[in-house]
Formats: sequence, C-alpha cells, structure tokens
Amino acid sequence: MHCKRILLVDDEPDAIEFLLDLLEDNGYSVITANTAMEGLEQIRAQRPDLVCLDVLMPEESGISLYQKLRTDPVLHRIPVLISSGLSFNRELRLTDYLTLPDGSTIPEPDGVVEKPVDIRQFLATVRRLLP
Amino acid sequence: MMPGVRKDVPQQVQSWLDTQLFEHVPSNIVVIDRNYRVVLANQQFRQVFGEAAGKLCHQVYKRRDTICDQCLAARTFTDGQVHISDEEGIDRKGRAAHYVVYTAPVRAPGGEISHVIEMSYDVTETKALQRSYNILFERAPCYVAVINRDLRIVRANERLRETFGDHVGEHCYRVYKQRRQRCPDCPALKTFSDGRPYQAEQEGRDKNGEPTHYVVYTSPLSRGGASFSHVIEMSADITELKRLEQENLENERLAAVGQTVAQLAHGIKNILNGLQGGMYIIRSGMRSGSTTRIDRGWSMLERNVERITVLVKGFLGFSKGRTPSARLMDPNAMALEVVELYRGSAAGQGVTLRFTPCEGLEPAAMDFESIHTCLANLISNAIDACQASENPSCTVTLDVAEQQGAIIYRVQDTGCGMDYEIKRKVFTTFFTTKGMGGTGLGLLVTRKIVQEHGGRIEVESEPGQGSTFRLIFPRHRLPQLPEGSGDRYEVTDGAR
Repeated sequence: MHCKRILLVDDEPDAIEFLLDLLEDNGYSVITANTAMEGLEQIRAQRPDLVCLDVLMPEESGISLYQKLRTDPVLHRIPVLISSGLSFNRELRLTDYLTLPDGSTIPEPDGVVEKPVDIRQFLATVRRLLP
Repeated sequence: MMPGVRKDVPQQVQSWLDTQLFEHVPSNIVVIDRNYRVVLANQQFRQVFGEAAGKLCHQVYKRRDTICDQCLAARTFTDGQVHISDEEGIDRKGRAAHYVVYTAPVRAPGGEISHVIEMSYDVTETKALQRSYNILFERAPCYVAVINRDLRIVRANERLRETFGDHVGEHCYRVYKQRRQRCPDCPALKTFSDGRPYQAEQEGRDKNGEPTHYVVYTSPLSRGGASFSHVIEMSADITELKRLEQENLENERLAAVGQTVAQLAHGIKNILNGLQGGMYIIRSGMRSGSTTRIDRGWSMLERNVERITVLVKGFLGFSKGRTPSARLMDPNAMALEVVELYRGSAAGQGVTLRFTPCEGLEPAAMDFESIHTCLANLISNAIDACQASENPSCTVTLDVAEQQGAIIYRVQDTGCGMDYEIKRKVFTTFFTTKGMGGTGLGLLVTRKIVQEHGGRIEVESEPGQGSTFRLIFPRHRLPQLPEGSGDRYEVTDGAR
C-alpha cells in the first residue's frame, strides 16, 4: 500500500524530530524542511500529500508559504496543517493572514494544531486530512 | 483782556475769545448756582443735552430727581478746588454717554464761591474701545498677566484669578507656583533682559494646591518705544493634555505587560513542545526497547530544560529594574561604546560596522545600562541578520541624529531582512527566528526600555534587502532626573 507522504516545515530541530518520529511510528512517510524556501522546493519536487507548517521562521514565515501555496495554480489543493505556538483564535487571526496584499482572500488552512502538540488531537487531524 | 492772553494776538481773535469762546468752544460747558440750577449752558451742551437753563444739573445730565451721590460741583462749592471725574450721563436722545467732567469755582467779587463752572467732554467711544479691550483681556480663554520688573503681577485676567486666586500685587512665582524664589529659566526674566518673546512649559499649583500644567508665552509690553517696563504673559492650560499623555503612557505600559505575558506563553509553548517530544520519544523507545531512541529523547528533554532555564533567567533580567534610573548622558558616547563592543565580533563574521555620531548633540536624561542594552540588542540582531544573508559583504550602520526635539538612534543592516508576517510579529510576539540560538527576548526588552523612556520603535524591512530599526526618544518625554542630580553629567568614555 502506498503510504501517505507528509512534509514537516519547522525551524526548530526538536519540533521536527518529535513529529517525524510520531508520524513515522503511525505509518506515514515524512520529509522535512527547516525554512519556508526549502519547504516550497520540497513541495514542488516531492508533491507531499500533506504539509505540516510552522508559522514563525527566519527569513520567510509559514504564513507567507501558506499564501504562496494557496495562490499556486498547481499546488493549491495540497492540504495544509498549521502547527504553531501562536494561539490560533487570538494571535493568528489577528494577523489577518487570509487577506492578501491585493485584497483577495484565501481559504482557511485545513487544520490547525497549537504547540505544545497534543498527540491524539494531532494524529486525529492528520487522519482526517489523509483518510 | 483775559488773563494769560498774549498781547500780540490779533484784534479779531481777541474779540472772538472775549465774546464767542464760551458759546463755541468744542466742549460742553455749564455754569450752575448753589442750588445746582443751570444758569448758563453753551451751544454744544444744549445740542447734546437740550435746553438746560433753569433746570437742575442732575436732571439735565442724568435725568435724576436728587443730587448725585458723589456730586463734583458740591465738592468744589465746599473746598474751592478743581475736581475731575468720570461720569455716565444720558443725552437728550436718551443714549448713555461717558464724560470726563471738570469743575472749577466761580468767585464773586467778595471771594466767595457763587457758582461752579462744569466743563465736560465725551469719551463714550474711548470707553467702548476700552471696554472691548477689557473684555478681550478678561475673557481670553487663557491666563493673561501683566508683570513688572520686580516680577509682581500688576494685572491678571478672570481665568487666571479663578485658577490661581486673586493675588494682584504679589510675585508671579508665588501666585503660579507657590514658590518663595524666582523660578529657574523664567521666560519673563529673559524677556526683560533682551526684549524678545519666549515660551516655556511650566508646572504650577492652582489655588487649591493641585498641579497645573501650562505653556507660557512672554512678550515685552511697550507703547511702541524701545524701552518697556512690563511683560505680558499668556499661558495656555495643558493640564488635561498632560493627563491624557500620562494616561496614554500608562496604557502603553499596560499593553506592553499584556503583550509580554502572551509572548512569554508563546515562548514556553515552544519549549513545552520540545519536552512533549522528548517524552514521546523516550516512551516509544522504551516500548520498542530501543536505547538509541531513549537516548535521543533524553537529549531532547535536556535541551529543552536548558532552554527554559535560559528563558527564565532572561525573563528575570527583563523584569528587574523597571524604573529607569536616568542620568544626563552623551547620546553619542553611549552609541560609540556599543559599536566598540561589537566591532571585533562583526569583523570576525565579515560584517562592516559603521558609526555616525550627531554633531553638537546636547546631553539627555537616560538610563545608561538600559539604552546600552537596546543598542546592543539591535546591533547584535543586525549582525545575525547579515550572517543569515546570502550577501557576502554586509554592513551594519549605527547613526545618531536629533530631529524635531527627538533623539534618534538608527540601526541599519544590509542582511536578510524580514517578511511581512515577521515584521508584524517582531514586537508583538515573544518569539525567535533563530531556532535554539535565541530566547526571543531581545526586541521585547528593547521595546520595553524604549517605552519606559517615553520613546517608540519603528522598523522597516524587506526580505533580502535588510532592516532598519529606529529608536525615537522625544526629549520632553524622557524620564525626569532624580532630585538634586540636575547638574550632574555622566561622561562615558568606553572604559566603563
């Protein structure tokens, strides 16, 4: 059976190591990237089934990468799970990240999991996005 | 011939003076007897008040039935002296009119005063003008005072009297500030010394002892000549403005506390995630009997315990010394010291560090340690941004400037820059983009210190182009110097 491939994009090595183990232990194939730019390259090259994205990273944020994905004619269908230490309801929404500079809007991410990651909730979200 | 008239006056003039003067002189003249009856009135008097001969003077002048309370003619009848007074009358058309009235005795051959001659001229227009000036002075929506060279208030308007009490004749410093001595930097004294206008922001005490803030403008009060004996002071009350400014500062501080708590939570959440990960890896290693995995998980736990230790220490550093301890500092020397501190490490990382001081900058009341921390944070971040950049020859520049009464430190780098999201979060979230290498406290501490100094931070950045941070300190919002430290000026020389 083809196992689903998940890309982890996070600048924190410990966060990558944790989720890499957790996902591999649950039968997923995992690829990783430490920056948003590297993440985009991996998405283009590897076409993962799901992207698990951190928000605050040096140089380019996860939000910027998310906006690029959602406006890309080829990649916009790839599901994205945002995993961040920011509170989704308070801080993330305040950034108005679904509105692009030209005023157009993009859909909400397919899943959001706050750090510290609740293992059961995280796996349940991944299973929902990758049935 | 009339006494006092020159002998060479032409005959026709002399004749006019003898026969026509009384009738045609451009003043109102009447002669009244001891019963206050008008026995003679000249032409102008009759034109203004109507036919008067035989009538009582108070009836004619004021349409009164009884003699006036302060009758000028009565005084002249009594003491034989000339008297002058301001009077208000009613002309024959019923209009109120103001007069200056002179009375002089008319003596009979025996020397006794038989009559009084009253001469008056109309000052209604002058009075109206004076009243307008008075209204302007009295009702001006600011404090207006006229001060003499002894710094005594000789005139104060209504608003000033209401706020500071009616103390005309007292020293201005006593009235405005309840002081016993002249104020330092008194703008009125400056105006007295060079005749030029001055302005100053002052804090006084109202008549109830409450603090009052005002901006005072002084100007010489002269009648067009070069010399002047008084200064006029106009002061605009800015107490409410000051209160709002203070409230705003408090709100900014409270908001900073709220944000700090949220930011601390974010920092801790990332570390908790690492601890959570470590626990998961150990547990799964134990289940599968993999010591390698257990070791990996253990290392992760250790790393994150270390991170939280560093974070807590940093946070304690952040929370201490909340009140800036201000001293007079040379803003250039302080910046130079930070540049010297980082010159070596910048060069070691291939980054050029430049410094441009501001010529002729006055000392400023700042907390040396705090501002040093701010500049060190910004320079260190700028060097890190250069390291993260693909540009092989990056530059970090620190400029000092003063614009519109504000001291400005500008730290500019040509490093990696920040994208929109990071720029938005840079001061509002307790975060780091340096992975394990940073606590995310640097800019937070910087912002806190800048706010404590009444200043603000501005940031401009483009990904790949570099970033510019500006610390802007308006001088009037800088901390107050502690009592008695006004003359001390701390010299910083890099040896600190």
